Amino acid sequence: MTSILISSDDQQVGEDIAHRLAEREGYEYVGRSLLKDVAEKAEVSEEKLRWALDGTGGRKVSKKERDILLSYIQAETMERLARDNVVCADLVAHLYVRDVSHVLQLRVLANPEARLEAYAAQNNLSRKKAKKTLEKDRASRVRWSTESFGVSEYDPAIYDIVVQLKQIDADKVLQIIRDTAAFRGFQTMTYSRMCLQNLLLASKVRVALLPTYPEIRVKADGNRVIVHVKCSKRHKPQTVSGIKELAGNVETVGLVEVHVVSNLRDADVDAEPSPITNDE
Amino acid sequence: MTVITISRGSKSMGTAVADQVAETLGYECLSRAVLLEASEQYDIPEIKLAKAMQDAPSILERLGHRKHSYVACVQSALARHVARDDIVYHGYAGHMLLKNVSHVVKVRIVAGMEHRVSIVMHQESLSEADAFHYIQKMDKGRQKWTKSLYGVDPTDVTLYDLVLNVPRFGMEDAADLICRSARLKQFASTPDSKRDMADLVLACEVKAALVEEHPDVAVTSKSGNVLVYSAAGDRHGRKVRSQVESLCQSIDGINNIEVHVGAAAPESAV
Amino acid sequence: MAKILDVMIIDDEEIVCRRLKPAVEKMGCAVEAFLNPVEALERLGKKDFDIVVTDVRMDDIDGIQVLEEARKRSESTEVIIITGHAMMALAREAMQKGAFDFLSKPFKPNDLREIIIRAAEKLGHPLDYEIKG
Repeated sequence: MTSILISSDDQQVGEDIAHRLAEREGYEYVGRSLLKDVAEKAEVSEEKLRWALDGTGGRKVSKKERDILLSYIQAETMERLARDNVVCADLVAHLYVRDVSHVLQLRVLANPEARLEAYAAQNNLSRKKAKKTLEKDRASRVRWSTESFGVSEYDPAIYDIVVQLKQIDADKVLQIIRDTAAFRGFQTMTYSRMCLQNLLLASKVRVALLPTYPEIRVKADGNRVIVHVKCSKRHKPQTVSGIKELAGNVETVGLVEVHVVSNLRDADVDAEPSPITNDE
Repeated sequence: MTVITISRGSKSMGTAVADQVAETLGYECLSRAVLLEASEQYDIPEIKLAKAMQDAPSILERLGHRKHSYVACVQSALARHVARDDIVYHGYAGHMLLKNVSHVVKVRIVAGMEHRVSIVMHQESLSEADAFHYIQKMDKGRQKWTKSLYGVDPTDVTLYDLVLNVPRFGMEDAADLICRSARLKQFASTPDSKRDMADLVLACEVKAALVEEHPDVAVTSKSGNVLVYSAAGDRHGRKVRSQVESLCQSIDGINNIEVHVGAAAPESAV
Repeated sequence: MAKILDVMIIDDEEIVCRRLKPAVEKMGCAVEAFLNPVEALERLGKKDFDIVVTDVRMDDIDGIQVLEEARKRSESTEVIIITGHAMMALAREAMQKGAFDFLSKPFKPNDLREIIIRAAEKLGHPLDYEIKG
């Protein structure tokens, strides 16, 4: 069954839709409460995990640490998503679960007027100042999402649907989700389930590697893992063997391929691996 | 009665989706017909209107105020057409013009860059890099055009009720979802929304009549009470007023018409 | 007596047909394998198959065309796509056009068997076969 990822420009709006969906359609709700489990498992503070997710915390969290914290969240979220029938909100899953057809990606935009008024009232700001602050927040989210995941949260092309809560209300959004989840193109297939498993494995390998090798990109294909790492020629041999050892210790990892690059942007991690002959 | 406007980036399957939606709902699908109508009504060659609606603002500036005139003619034809019937409209930023009418469902079609590049590579026989630049150029052109006319970025998703990534749905399912959304009672016409549409038609008609000589005018209408905003000074304002008086005789539906010189036009003005 | 499901396998690689045919026959299905999709479609015109397993990249006719033709001829035919060049866009297209499932190569015979078991259940003719190992 289709799983649903809900993103919103307003945290409360996104959570509200996700909760309603979970209640009415019998999905498992996965949200911010996950951070407690992540904090325990990874032995980090929940507050730092929140900073990493919200792009706040300033200098209290370095980029390296932020990436590590996000990797913990990503791995745990992927673990839940692999179960099917999940609605996930507020864990920025839309930024790292990409191109899995049975995971519906929805962005819900709050009514801009209502949001502006509410924000101004809550923060005791003039309309003009509130508007400026919200615009600043948006720019900051674009920056954060692009730096952390290589995509802007505000790019509509990363979602399946974007709905604005102006004339369409929350109930109708649920209807839209129900209708979309029923379309054949969003049904689970063996290949899409495999893609999700690949993303899960890659996320676990990232958790294992990031503390030692902060500049990596990881892709999994079955039990084969491909790691692109940025390092100098001088350190290549020990980097390659180090990565193979750490990645190899992750459960279900078989073959580990390591590619050393001078620029991670050149690493064509998204290229399909070369076709392997059939082994049926 | 509902109107659906479909806005799209280049090579996003928008035209095909619009056709499918119109066929499913039994609506008229409108794009080029508006140009033809404007061309007949205002006696301007269709090709000139097409150029005015497609060319980048920098080229249009050479036409001087003619651009404003051509665009106003097309907008007037669009508003009039859309007020008559159940319509699916795609092209020329119709959703911007119709944004304040509640029985208009504003839809934007998007597609990932990879998908668009592969379409252009196939259609235009270009390399991947050239196809990418081609799309960027077209997107930039559309953005510039819309920004110059309406002051907004057409890629801003807050302008729309619904944004669909069509390749992920397939054309038929995307059209199906749009049809279902269009059937929501929130988008059914009401006496108020029909009045808003009638006012829009009137405002567009008045503007089209004035803009040739007064390119800076903006017009609103509320229940047939028309307000014409002109940024120009007093002398120019007198000219506008005298021209406006004759409009009451030639344009149906005007209860009252006033000219405001030097006052800023509201956002809802055409 | 339970219905014997008719399964067609289409793949222009001989080794695939050679391996999959007996693997599916073991499930109690009647299997016809084709290297040539044109011939396969001709056969589809003469006989209804319950399940069609087809590769995508083939000469003359690709697997998506086979899917479209098979579904046009009989909406109750379930089509399973297999391919060594799997991409999500292709997979979505296949599902949108009515494919039952989409499987990327390489795969183990049991992967395909699981899908065939589900397809058989959907057709209302569950197979009396248990996957081992």
